[in-house]
Amino acid sequence: MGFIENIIAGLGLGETPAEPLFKAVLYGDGAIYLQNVGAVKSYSPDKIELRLKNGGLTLTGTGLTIRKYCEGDLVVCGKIKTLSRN
Amino acid sequence: MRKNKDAFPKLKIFSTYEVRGVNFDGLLNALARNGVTVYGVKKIAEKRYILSVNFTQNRKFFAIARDLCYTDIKKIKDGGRGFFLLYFFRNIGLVAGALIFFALAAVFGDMVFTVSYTGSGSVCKADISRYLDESGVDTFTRFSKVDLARLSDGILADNPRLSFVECRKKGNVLEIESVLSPESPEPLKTADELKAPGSGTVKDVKVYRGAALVKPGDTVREGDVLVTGTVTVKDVPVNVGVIARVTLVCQTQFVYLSEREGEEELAVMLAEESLELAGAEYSVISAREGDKVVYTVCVNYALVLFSG
Repeated sequence: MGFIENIIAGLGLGETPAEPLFKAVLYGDGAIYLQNVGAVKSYSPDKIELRLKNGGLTLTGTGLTIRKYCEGDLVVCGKIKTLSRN
Repeated sequence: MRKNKDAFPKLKIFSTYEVRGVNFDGLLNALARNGVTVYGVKKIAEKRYILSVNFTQNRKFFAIARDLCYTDIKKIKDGGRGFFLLYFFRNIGLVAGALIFFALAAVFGDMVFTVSYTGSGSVCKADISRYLDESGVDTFTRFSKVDLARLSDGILADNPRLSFVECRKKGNVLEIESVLSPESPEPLKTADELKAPGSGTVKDVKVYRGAALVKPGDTVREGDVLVTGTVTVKDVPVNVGVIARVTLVCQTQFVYLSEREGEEELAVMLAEESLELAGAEYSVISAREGDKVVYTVCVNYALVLFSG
């Protein structure tokens, strides 16, 4: 069982789903690593809108750049101000 | 990060592109879906973005981008830590040429192609050259095998006429700078005039210093002055030491008495033994005087006189 899965199980948050869940790891306020991103809906240095399997995610900040993006894995660098689900 | 599908994931060579147009997000998603990893996505102006892909995925990138609505994709540069490898393979001829050049320069740069003599001591070039030959320093000798300081000392010690010697490497030239000693060299021995020691006919006259008083064909007697040291310079008589060479053809006789006839050969042999003149010509005549036979051997020989 992976690290995240151990935490989920330990917190009693339910069984591990068959489909992989969206995950986000925030490194301070300068970078964020996101897993299982469906698509990039829009990109600008101030706002990045992402489409997830269930819903969407919006990142706002300044000087945002997509450091790396491939097959659902996304790394965004820049001054990240907000991260909101929609 | 999960392992992506780059062909050479560890080969960090990237191609950076500028993309203009709408639907940039569609391009990003299409690339990501097809396994093309994009790096460093930035918006630089309205509808203008830059991004980088691994150079091994350039074809895939263009194949995907071609199907989307983009007005312009322009390659900006290739880069990355592994870029030198790409440059190497793209310019293999240039790199090979550069390597060959440096290798040859390293090999031939160490060789002596010629020796140059400078300074006032270069008049002793023949002596210096002889010393170099004896020391094994010649064309194509390697500079690395020659101790230039020691060579300089050796040349100086070998030639007392020099007061300073320095050997230097200038490219492929061994430059030898030398300075003559201020002491003057030993002067030539000369005489005031060159005289004939005996009678004869002048065959050859060569004067280096002085004035000749005879010419080929002249007959001279013992004591005659052949070359004088008194010369006229701008109507002023000047005495100089004579340096000259004169060849005289002289004659002498050898007389042999015998009681027997037919001993001409014996007479010539005795004349040769007695006179010891190399290159001389002998002729003999005989005459009877009373009970004796007189053999007279006439000897013609060349006498080389030299003063200086």
